[in-house]
Amino acid sequence: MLFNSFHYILFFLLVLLVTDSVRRRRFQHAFLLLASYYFYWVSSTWFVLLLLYSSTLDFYLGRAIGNAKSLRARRIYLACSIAGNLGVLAYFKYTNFALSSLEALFGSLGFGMRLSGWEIFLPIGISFYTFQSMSYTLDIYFGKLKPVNSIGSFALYVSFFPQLVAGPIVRARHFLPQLARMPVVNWDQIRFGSTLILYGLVKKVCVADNLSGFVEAVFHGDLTQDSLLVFLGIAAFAIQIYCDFSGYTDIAIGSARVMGFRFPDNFNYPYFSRNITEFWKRWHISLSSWLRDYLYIPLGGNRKGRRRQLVNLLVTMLLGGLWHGAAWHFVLWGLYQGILLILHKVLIWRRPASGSRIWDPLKILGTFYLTCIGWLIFILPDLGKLSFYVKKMLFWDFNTAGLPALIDSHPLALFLIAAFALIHLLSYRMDRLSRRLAASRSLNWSWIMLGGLLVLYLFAGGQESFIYFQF
Amino acid sequence: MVEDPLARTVGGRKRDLPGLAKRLVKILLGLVLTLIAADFILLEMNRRLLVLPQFDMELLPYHDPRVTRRNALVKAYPTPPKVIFTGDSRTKNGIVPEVVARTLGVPHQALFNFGTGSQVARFAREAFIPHLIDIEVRPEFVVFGVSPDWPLQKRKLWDLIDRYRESLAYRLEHAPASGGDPVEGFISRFLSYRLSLYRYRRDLIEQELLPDLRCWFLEDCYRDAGNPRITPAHFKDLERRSGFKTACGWGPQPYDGHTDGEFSGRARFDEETPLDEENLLGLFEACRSQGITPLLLIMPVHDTFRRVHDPVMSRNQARLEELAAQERVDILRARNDYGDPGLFVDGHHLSHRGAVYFSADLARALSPHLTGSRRIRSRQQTSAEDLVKWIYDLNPEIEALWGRSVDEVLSRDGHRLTAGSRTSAPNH
Repeated sequence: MLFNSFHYILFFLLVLLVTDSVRRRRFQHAFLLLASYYFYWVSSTWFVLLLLYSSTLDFYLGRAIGNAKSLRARRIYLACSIAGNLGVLAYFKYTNFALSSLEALFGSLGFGMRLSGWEIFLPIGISFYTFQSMSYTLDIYFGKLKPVNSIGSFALYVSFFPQLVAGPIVRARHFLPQLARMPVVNWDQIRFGSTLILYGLVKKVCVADNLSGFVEAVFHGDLTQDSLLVFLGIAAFAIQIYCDFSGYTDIAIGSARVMGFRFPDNFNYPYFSRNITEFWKRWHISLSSWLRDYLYIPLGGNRKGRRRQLVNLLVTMLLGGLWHGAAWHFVLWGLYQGILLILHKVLIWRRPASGSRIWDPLKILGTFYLTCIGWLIFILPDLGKLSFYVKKMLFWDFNTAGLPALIDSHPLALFLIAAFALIHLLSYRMDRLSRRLAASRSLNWSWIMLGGLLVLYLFAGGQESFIYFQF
Repeated sequence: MVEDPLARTVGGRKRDLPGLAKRLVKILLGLVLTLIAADFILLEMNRRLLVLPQFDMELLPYHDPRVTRRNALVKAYPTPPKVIFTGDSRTKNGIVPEVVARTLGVPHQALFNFGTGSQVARFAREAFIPHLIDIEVRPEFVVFGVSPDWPLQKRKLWDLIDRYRESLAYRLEHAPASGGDPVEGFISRFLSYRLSLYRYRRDLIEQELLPDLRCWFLEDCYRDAGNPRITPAHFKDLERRSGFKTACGWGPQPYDGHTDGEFSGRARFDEETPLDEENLLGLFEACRSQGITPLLLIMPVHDTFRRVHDPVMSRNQARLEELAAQERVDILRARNDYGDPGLFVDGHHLSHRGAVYFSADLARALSPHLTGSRRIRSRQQTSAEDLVKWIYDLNPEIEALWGRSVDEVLSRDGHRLTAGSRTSAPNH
């Protein structure tokens, strides 16, 4: 079930009405759990059993870790949890990738054999809920959380529908305490949540979906584009993926908020980052903090010397890249991000930041430019094509003669790029536009919502699924 | 920083929200009623040709508003027509089935003009013939209007096949049997059938809102305002005219009366665009496999058009004739003289009187196929002028939409139909 569908609107309204009318917490949770499983069933049918599997496995292993007397036993239980979760993820997501890589390796050694090509359906959102479920046992192991008593509450934490298929990856220690009390629903929250939902829908449906055609036209045609078109194309993709994913997050956070739950922020104006380290603190925050807490720090973080810290960074980003998809270009993207982070670290060690903000605009543009090169790696699995586009980004051959024709053929895409840049800047300067809109006086807010609905009606692109569903 | 509303709530205590359900239901009910009212107003404005005059918003849209209306018209026939004409805008504007029927002395319902605009052979093969089969309209003959561009491999027009398949009406008719979200499918279908605001959303934006905005803010209201050879026309007037078609599907040229009739400008094609032989052969095969006899009809062009496009045009035509002979497909040709520029709007689209003149001419060529005789049975001695008057009388909307009386049409620029245009059946 897509957030940008009538089915979701209907489903959400029904869930809201029922949860509001049910007065007992236990029944409320039971209903929310049922609704969440239905939500997942709509898109993944019997793979809903995987949710049940992850929830049951981690609930009991979490309890076992919590009750274990020895460190060895705790480690064994944790290893079981990690193996049980990553095993499922590996099978569904990485089997064909691993086999085709092996096939290519054997082929290059002269042993041609057919290994890949298994028909394995990738359940939607498996990377998200597996990581989420795993964070529970990891937190118990690290002593940050006590095991929860009710399997229903834990299953609801893993499957709660707003964040189920594309995050944010909510930590158990943030969410489970919210289940311990009756969800608080009031008009402030409904207003706040519905503004976020509408804001997210506009981002997804009006901006991201309308830009997808332009991005497709630039990167799936003949290799004849000049640097200007490549710049515009990749900037459009940067906006598309941001609006797509942050739009989803807004709808998820908004939906949860309307029902009285709180999710952490997942984006904080990443394209206003002044360096790549800051970018990763602002982009997909729930994943980067997950990788930091459960991979980078356990690997040693910055506690084992500078050289080891750089290696840890690289390993973390490589695995982060692989998390995004079972393909070598995602690994390459992770490697690229890792190298950028390492370069930035080395740069700060040699020349610590001065604190002056005079160069900030240039730094922001530079970071955006580097991020865009990264997005090229992200979207282009073909190395030949990638090298063409990267060359265009590095060695400029702007041909402004074709600009009028370009404007003529893609007026909406170019308008959206410009409008996004303006509104995003305004929102950044005003400290979160959506929150300000939600905090407007009632009458103004009603007009804003009506205007938002009209924009949605007028500029909605085709109903496309969210890019991050595939991860 | 804006205050976070959740921060104000007291942990563990639920602040009751009295009447949430009632309030939500009220809001929803209000929204539904507003939508129904807006939809009613929209349909009423459409009926009065104020909004989307090209469309009949009660119908489900195909990729092109003209297809949508023609589709409804042909489905309203008591029995499928015996002959369907199809082709690009030259066919759409150039064949008046009523005139052909009257000249032949057959009922109007035996003929229908299903010109789709911007059609090429591949569209006819992959979209048009399957469409006829889909709507269960299986004529005995399909006459393809062969304009100079129609049989060519004009790849940029192939997009129209995708547009046709992406159109709402097509998607609703061809919804996948399985897969997808059935609830979403049900809601979308419900809204598509019930709410014109929903089914015409894209057209309302592209065809109505954006041109209106351009007109209001950029004062770009007149089409071809910079062309000295065209009397500019308000875009809304052109849309209203484009929306009009007779009961048998004739769509009179919207620019009639705004031009001198001669071709001007650069060539529309050259030797770089070859004949689309593969799709032409496929089209003949597709027709025959459905029990339909394909016929080709060479659409007339003015000398000013031919001069710019020859020798490529003549070469293409010769090759087409070879192909037709090889496939035993009959070619229908006009016999009259088309040297009068007043018969055209721009050298290749026929004007109103040009269309009537050509249709009467065409009747003679079609007669053997329709009546089994080369002689025209009609006992009426009807001149082309009378036929123009007759078709205008039959469709009084034409005078209103084009703002000209039939006498003005017939006497425009001093051109009058020549004696050669007399279709004095049955002597021809």
